[in-house]
Amino acid sequence: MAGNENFEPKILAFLCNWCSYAAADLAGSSRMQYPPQIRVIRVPCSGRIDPFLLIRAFNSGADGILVSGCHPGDCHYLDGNYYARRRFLMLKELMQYAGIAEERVNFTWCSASEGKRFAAIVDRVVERIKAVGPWEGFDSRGFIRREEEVAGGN
Amino acid sequence: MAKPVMVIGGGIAGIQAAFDLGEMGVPVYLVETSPSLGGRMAQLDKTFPTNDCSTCILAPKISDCYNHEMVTTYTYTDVLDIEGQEGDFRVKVRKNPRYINEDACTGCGECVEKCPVKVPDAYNEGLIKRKAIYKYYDQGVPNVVTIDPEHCLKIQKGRCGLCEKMCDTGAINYEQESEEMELEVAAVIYAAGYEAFQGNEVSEYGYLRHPNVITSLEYERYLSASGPTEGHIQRLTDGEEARKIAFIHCAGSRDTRNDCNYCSAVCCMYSIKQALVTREHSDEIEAIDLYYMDIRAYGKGFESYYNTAEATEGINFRRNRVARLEEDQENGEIIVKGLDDQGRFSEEKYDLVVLGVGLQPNKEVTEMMKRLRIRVNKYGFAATDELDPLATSCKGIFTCGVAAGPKDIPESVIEASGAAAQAAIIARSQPAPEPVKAAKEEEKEVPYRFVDYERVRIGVFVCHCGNNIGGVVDVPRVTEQAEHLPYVEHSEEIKYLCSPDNLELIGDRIKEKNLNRVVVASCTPRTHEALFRQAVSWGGLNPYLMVMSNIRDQNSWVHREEKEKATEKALDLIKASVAKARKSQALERSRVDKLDKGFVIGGGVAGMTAALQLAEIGFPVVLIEKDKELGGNARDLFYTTEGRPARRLLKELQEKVENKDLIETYCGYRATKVEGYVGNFTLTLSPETGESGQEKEIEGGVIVVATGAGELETDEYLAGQSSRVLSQVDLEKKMRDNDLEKDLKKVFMIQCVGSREEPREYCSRICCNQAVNSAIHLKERDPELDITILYRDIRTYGFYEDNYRKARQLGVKFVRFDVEEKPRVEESKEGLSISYRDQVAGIEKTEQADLLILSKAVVAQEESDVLSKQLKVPLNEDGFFLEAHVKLMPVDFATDGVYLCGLAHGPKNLSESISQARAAAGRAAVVLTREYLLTEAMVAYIDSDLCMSCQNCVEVCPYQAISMSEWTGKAEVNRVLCKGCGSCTAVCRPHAADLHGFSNQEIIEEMEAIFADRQPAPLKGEGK
Amino acid sequence: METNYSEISKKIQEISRKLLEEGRVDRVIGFERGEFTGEMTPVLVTDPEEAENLLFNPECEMMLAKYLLDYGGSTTGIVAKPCDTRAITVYLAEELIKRDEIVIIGINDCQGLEENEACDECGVRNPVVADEEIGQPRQEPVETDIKDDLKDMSLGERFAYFQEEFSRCIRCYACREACFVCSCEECFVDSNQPQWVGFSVGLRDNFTFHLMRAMHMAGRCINCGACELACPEAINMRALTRNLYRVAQEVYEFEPGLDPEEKTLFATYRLNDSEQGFLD
Repeated sequence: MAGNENFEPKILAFLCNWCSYAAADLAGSSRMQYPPQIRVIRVPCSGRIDPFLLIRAFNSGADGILVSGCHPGDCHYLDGNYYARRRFLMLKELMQYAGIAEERVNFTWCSASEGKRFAAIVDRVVERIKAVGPWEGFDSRGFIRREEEVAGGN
Repeated sequence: MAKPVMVIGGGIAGIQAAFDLGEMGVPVYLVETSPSLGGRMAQLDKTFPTNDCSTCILAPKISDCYNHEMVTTYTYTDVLDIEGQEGDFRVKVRKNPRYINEDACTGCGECVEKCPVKVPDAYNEGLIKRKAIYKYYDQGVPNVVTIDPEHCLKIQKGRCGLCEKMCDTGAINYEQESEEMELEVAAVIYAAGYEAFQGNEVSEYGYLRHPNVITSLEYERYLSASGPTEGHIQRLTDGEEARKIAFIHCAGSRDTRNDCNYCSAVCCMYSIKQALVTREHSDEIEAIDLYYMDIRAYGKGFESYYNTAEATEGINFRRNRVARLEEDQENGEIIVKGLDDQGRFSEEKYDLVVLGVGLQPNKEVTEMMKRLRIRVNKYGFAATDELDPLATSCKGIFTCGVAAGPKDIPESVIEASGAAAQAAIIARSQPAPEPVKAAKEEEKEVPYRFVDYERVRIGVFVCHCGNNIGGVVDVPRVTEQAEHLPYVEHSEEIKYLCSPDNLELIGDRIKEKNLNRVVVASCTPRTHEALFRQAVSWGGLNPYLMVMSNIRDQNSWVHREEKEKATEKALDLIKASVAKARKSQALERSRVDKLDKGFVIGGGVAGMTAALQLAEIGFPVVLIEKDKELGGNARDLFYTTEGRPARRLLKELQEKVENKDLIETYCGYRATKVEGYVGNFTLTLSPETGESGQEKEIEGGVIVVATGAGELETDEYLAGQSSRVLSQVDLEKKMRDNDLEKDLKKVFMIQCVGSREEPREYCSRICCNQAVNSAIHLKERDPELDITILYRDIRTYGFYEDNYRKARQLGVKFVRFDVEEKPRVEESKEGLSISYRDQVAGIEKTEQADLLILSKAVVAQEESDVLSKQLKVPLNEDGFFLEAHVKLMPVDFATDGVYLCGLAHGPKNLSESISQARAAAGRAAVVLTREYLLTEAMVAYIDSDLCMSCQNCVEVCPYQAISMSEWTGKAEVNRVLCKGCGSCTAVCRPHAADLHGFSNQEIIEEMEAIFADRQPAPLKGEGK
Repeated sequence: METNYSEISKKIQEISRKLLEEGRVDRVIGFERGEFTGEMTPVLVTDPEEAENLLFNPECEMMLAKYLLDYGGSTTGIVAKPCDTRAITVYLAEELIKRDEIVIIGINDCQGLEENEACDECGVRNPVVADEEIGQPRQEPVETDIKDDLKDMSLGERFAYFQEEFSRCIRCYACREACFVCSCEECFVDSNQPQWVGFSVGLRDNFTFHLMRAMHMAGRCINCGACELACPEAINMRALTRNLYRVAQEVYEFEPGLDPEEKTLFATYRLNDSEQGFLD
């Protein structure tokens, strides 16, 4: 296992106001329990999210990111998530090509009634990021080997 | 100022009606008998034909309505009696005791967890248990709990009382009594919905006897992520995964034995939806079989949805009349026994059988209507006139949604907007009695303190929410640490921040400490942001200078066992809000002037009705028709769908329009240029080629598109080549002019000519009814006449099923054909001969016919694309105009101020066009009744110094809110049209576009604050 | 067949002179031999008499298209290699320039530049759009492939590789200046409200800068290689952008600069776009 056993990741999540943020609220009112390592920033729509913000999150020190919008077709603003989907896919490819483990870059959809799903997603994302260990930054030369070990050189 | 209107029923129809009335400045009492708004739609998982998540689209609508300043909502309230007449009704209502002080309850749900009593949960169709103190459903509005007195130990036996002990706000009141009120209203809208048909009423299906036979509404809960199986397809009886599922259509519909001869109009589609969603949920499914008589996919987009299902592997459509369901005692499997379309017996086993139950009138509502002397039809639904489809027999009482007959969500929404428009006319003509809820407490023009040049001074308020937050998060520690954050001048912990006293306290602190930013750390902004913004404004501060941290719903509630980490997280979230607050700006909703006039493009029945409706509400209308005279397609109609003479009715309508002073009619004109936006359009009207007249420029505030549709031109089945081959319209003309041959012996009709096949993959909706009606008329003239209708599915939805039955009783023959094996028509000297395959007998037949009547497809107007470009509104793939949202905005376009009705939207009959026209007029009146238009505060803006004019933002904006300035050549945002989604922000490469309230700067600050502890050195020089 | 450059230059001079004399354009942008260094440098010709200075040869490595952005509202003729015409197409697609304001003197059968590796990956050897064409268009298609020299590296090796590359970056922004895509009024690296990335030269911000830069180019970069040619530290920054070029090609069948009617990658979508790698 990479990282250390006590590794507490800190994950940045962007949730769209109408579906995914609502799902997170529903997980709350249903008292579903999920890991506390996630920090949510609310945005109106996944279509609002400039990929620069996500790159920037790694510059700031996030161990990983999660972005969740309305399911395709459900966008409160008609089609914002369709545009977002292209940007996210491209960003994911970019990050992975640059050597950042894909476990750190997570995109998904959650509808307002999927509180359970939201909790499960957080579970999964925390697991994924724990598995690749702490993000030590673009300028840390030491930790690359570990990253590789776990990610299996994909 | 108008007199109030009462809306009875808080489902989607009632919500839409109440919201529209409120938007028109009419005070509304919205009365709902269950504890929460939302109705049936709130129980649904997905909706057809878009598979939209029901909650996702409904919840924002509920909260808009509930929070509307003109709408007073009474949930858990029954209507007892209505007295009086149009303009002056007195409605007696009884508010049932919730045993909860609604003002004190915060909806935190601590009591629900502690309550020891479990009872079947009606919201989940009794499939799981809820507590005796409960919230009807999680997202329910209002956000308060209710005690079920029949099961509460305290109320029944004087024991327990746990909830009272748990409740810190003292909201529990076991002594609460029901309260009766008399409300004075000008008009009433009945939107009381329906009961689902009880499965056990069809005894041979064995519902309740066989546990693996369930109703479709129950299955809807199975599919829901928040339902009993959390979306897994398994049998509740033994938890086994269901791999083989049968859907039985028409359970309780089209069935004379149960006094339900009518078609429930939605079951075919919801069964298809459930089949598709099931397929999505699980790969383990072996087979999903749908047992049906006719697939009635007659609505907009339904046919292609049906085709998708048909093409989906594992979904099988079986035309089969199910006789009975039996249970295999050993494994609980259900044996479906039926008769297939070739008359053979069939038998097959399934893990689970879902009954596609129909929609029945709510018996109590029927009784109520009878008592009020509102006419009901023979099935118990409110009786309406097809040409005035939203009015009941009692003047001043309107109806919408399923209360007046089975229908789907968009049609219910259309009717709701239409009924609201009609009720508004009455309400606006009546003086408002005192005391009514004051219209918009005329936004107290408190000038907010100007803080732009002040040093930032932030006040942080951390809410304990009783034990909800305080029991998990170390609130004192968080409060103390928050005080040391940059620019924080004040930090305070409060037990319940949302209580009225403490809301005032926020205002006081702002003044006292001269705060210019506020951070509230409490629950979710989705429910409480508006409230705290208001509190901030009481302190003289611009409400957008308040930022919330969600440390309850997304923190203390979900990390209960990890108090330390939850505390850290709370602090991070507060740091983020403090950082965002530092950069937040005072925002305003600005006023934009608007014009009072409405345009209606198209002078058919829909256009004329919309024009009249707008004029009756009180606005001048410009009605534009490209033909020389008004009337449109209805000029060729002989009978209405219900068999009334269409001509006279059309004439009456024409006269009304011509005599209405407020309507200015331009026949022989066409809109050739459209400029401007909602509230401020300029249309250039040019005379049609060949017509005389001057070009005119007219200004107005809204545009209603009612440009109609046409009939397919085809040569299929010898159309246009033989005098013996007529269209349904030709036949009506002949009947009208008494021009039919006297000695007809044999008549054939062929359905779906040009519909339901490439290149028109849609159902033309009206032709089955038209054919059945024509057949009845022909039979009534000459009972000996031999009539055969060749069809693919008979789609006489709703009460039109009665006509279908009547036609069969009169001896009209119905013979089905497959699209792969169409009938063939030939003509020789002897006359027409028609060859077709008799599927039941399994033989080819050739018969002579005196006359062949074709049901030709309804096709979109070819010139629609010109108008579509002018108005910047889209067309769908079939060329019909595409509304903003198929389910919930059926007459609006995504572009504000432009509305849609009639055949331009899609095929529909006269009655449906009239409803939709009233709805479009109502929605348009929402804009016209306002004194001025108010923009959103959190809208996009563009830094024109940075803009490169690449127009990507123009491309992605779903609301046509961005255009290129004529002066600067740079993009500019029309604040009236912008809804604040921020799509432009993310697509703008030079970052010229940004979004108020969620600016790049604000988001970056939040991020930096959250990860401040992760960074070797601050990125920026800006320290404490 | 050997390309006859003096023939081409003569053709350019003729056409340019004619355009200027007839007043069809206010200026022609092309190449001339530099006065001091003797290198081929861009020149802007407004006088028909000066048209004879215009030259073309394999040393003309710069892309001239970017100059068009400075002359909106007037008419410009431009000597355009096929890659220039792709850049022009991108501009046309984004309506940054107007078609009727430019006259494109396109040069057929581009042989590519020796020192630009990107040319080996380029299959566009004739102008995508041109008003005047010089030379015979190349008929046979050029089989090319977007190279991926990092594909055999592991994730960690790639990260280390880019760290090594970007650690050399001195943030001179020559790549930006050379790039025709880079046309923002204010570059994101210069913005301080908000500050997208730190100004200082350091691996953390350098790496961030290059990731943002690649994302910024996505869907517009035509893989012309100008950035790399301009880089004084010979950083392999094209590795990132050309990977995204390839992804867009594979996933969205999208290649920028071939069709002026096509919307940019991120300003459009299909209902069934890929969700590969998304959490289900």
